[in-house]
Amino acid sequence: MEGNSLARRACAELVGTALLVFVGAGSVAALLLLGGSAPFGGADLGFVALAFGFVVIACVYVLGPISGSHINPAVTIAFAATRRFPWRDVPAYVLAQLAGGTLGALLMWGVFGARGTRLGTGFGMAFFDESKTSWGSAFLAEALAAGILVFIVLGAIDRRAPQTVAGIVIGVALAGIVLVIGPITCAATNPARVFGPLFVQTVDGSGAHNWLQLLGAYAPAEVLGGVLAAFGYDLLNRRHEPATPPIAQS
Amino acid sequence: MDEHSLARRAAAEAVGTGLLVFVGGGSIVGLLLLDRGDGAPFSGPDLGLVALAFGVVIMVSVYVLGPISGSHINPAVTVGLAATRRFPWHDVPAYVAAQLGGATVGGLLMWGIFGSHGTRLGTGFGMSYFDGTSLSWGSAFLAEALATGILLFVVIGVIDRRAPQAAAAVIIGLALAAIVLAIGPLTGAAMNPARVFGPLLVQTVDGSGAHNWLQFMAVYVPAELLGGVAAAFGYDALKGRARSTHPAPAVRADAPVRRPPAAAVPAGGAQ
Repeated sequence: MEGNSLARRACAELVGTALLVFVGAGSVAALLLLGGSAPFGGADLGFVALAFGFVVIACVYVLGPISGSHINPAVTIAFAATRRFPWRDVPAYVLAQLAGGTLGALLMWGVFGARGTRLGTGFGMAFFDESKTSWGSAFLAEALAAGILVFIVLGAIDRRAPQTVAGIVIGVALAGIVLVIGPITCAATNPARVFGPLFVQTVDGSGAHNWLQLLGAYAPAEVLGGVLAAFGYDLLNRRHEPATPPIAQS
Repeated sequence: MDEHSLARRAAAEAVGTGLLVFVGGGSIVGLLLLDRGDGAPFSGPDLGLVALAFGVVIMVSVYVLGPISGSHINPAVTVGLAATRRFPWHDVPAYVAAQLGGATVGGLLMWGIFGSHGTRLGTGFGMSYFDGTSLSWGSAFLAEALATGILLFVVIGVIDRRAPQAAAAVIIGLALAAIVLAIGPLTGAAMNPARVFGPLLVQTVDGSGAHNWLQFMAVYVPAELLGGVAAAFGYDALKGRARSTHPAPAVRADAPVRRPPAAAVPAGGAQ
């Protein structure tokens, strides 16, 4: 991955985040479209979880060799905080991720057209219902979601874990997180995934949009949860100890 | 793959595309058959299960037929691979003809088991179409081009030598399922001219239902070929095709040992 220029790696991050939003958030819009007047059900949530999980699996395998396939500012910052990723590359990665999230939402606009804003909250936007979920609960939910994701990512990419299935483990774990946290905060776990649809919804102008939730809950909770989980993983795993035999491959 | 004659490889493509249409397209008819018992419309969970049916049959086809023909089972994949010199152009006509023939057999097998249900349910034989009154032709074109482009991007990425080959078919199948979940309600997320052609031809021969060749010729075929070729070139631009300058760290010791590396390449290894 170090063999690729920063520009090339940032392009890969952009493409991956766009895929995540277009396919993952797109599945929310698609299922709402089929549901018609019926409410978004548990089975719908399950398939949204699978769409997010499956597209993350593809990104890890296809883009991982180019950029590491973070496609999530919380992951990039958690990696940098635990010295797995250089801080000087963080701004380019995060900008590429935010731009990719926006591109993914624009592509949804292209294929769903005006229906994109009329379905649910528009473009599969992540939000929470402030009349039912307190800001504290929403903050905790997103911090936990991002924390669990980062914890699993770090475990799956550890040298001693079997690398062949790392991407599958990460994607399936994300699906599991969405199944638990989805009904509370949409389980964004990713500031770029919140930003893209929110930005396009704001530009479109025909629906509601809430930037305060992104700035006051989603972004700080996800970054904080991811960083804490990364330090927690290192405490638990003691990175610099001599490697034990790779039991997982025996 | 090179050790197999073109005729044998084309036969494998026909079998794979037939399986794709029979199982994937058939799952639509099967779910509609159950739904229509209580008059329910095609729902979100139905879509999810159709997506999984397509994804699973693709996985099977890549593992079983990949070592014989590469298991393209899709003219957009074959053309995308040929355009980026991963597959010889002179084999393209035989592959595409086999894929169209296989998809038609898949549609005929659906006719055989579902009988007249096949045409009365939904649009008939799991046919791909879009509703021109609610979706513009431009959006439909963009949707099919993007869906096919994402598929090609993933296929070419996972058959790269540096990706772990043991999981390639699983990744491709799951990615296809995810794309169906996002695009399915718009255009059927065909991503495959052969998959559109087979059911459409059988529906036309049957004659009792609607069929729309204009959508096939003006949207599905050009959008899928264009999206696939553009994504293949896009992948090469993103990756930089200086493959020989990199070691191959991802071909790992825990890769499958039951197949030699050449046969483990599920598509496009014939360059």
